[in-house]
Amino acid sequence: MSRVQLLIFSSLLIISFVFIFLNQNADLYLSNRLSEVLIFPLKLVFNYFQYLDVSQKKIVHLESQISKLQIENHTLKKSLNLLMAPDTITNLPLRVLKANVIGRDPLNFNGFLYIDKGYKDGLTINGPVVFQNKIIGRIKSLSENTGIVETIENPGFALSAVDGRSGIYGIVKKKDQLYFEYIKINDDVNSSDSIYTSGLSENLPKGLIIGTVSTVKEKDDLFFKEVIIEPALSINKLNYVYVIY
Amino acid sequence: MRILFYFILTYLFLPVNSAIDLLTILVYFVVLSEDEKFSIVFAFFVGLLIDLYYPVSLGVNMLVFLVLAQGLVFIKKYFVREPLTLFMVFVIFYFIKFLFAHIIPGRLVVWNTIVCTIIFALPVVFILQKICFRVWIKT
Repeated sequence: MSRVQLLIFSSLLIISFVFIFLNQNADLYLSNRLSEVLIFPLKLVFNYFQYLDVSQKKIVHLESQISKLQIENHTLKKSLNLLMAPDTITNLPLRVLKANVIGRDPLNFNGFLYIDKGYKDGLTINGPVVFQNKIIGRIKSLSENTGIVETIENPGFALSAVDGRSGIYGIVKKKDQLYFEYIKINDDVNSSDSIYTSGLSENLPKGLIIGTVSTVKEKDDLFFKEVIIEPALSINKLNYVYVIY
Repeated sequence: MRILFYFILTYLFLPVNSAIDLLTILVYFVVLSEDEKFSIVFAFFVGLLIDLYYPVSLGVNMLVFLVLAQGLVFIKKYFVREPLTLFMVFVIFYFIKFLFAHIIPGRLVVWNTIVCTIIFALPVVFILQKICFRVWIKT
């Protein structure tokens, strides 16, 4: 062993013994002071991850609140314009749960969404699924921890709807496109009218946006109009949704 | 550059050290591969960090790592670097460390940690060799 090495070893050995035989107060004081310097890089990283985690939880909470408020706000606005009956405002279920989209049906990509919440989280079959104040669909089936959402893009999906401007009621149905059906030839429905849920369909609250009228044509039967709706949101862009329960 | 890498690894391994004793493996590797003076100082530093991060009794790990590193510095010239020998030496190294840093101070003995450490010791040493010296075993 070289002299330098012996010197280093002896010094470190003495320091170790000093640490071991220090009294408790001095030990604690020294630990705190040294930790501040030596464990600092780890603390910095941990604090950063903790901050990210807390921020993420806050974002989820705020998004959920925004969703609730948008639905409530929209319904209140509509009721002030007397386009919808005001008695349903108080009936709005306002418990909203965020659910991540964890899969899609490969054969019907926008028709069904798989979400990471199930009946364990309090969800029920036919519960409305929204994004902000726009309707996405309803829950088709549930397992303990997952659920399948049938969206308005699924052929055959139908719900009761109302024209936000004129208050004309009809049925929105998905075929090759989204149709607003049973609109009579003399009913006041025009292009760019917004179409909302009417609240007449089971479990679906009133006032959720379905889409905007894109085309109005007269049909051959001369009794009904053909009204095509442009959906309010692109379902293939969603990676999370909100379930009202 | 390698020195910096060892210190970065020390901080990375520190939070998971209660599950797998990676810091003991790192000290073992550094003592076998690096300069003797640096090895001793590094072992002392690792002991200090463990004492600060898992505070039970300040100084115990420092002392154990220091003495063990010095012991390994003495004997490392006398054994051949082949897997079985490296493994046997590590087991003895780890056993002595465990005896003085855990059993004698009366700390909780977690058998999973011991088993995982022994299983992962050689692979970790080989990976470190490969990263630092571009060879799996430095003879």
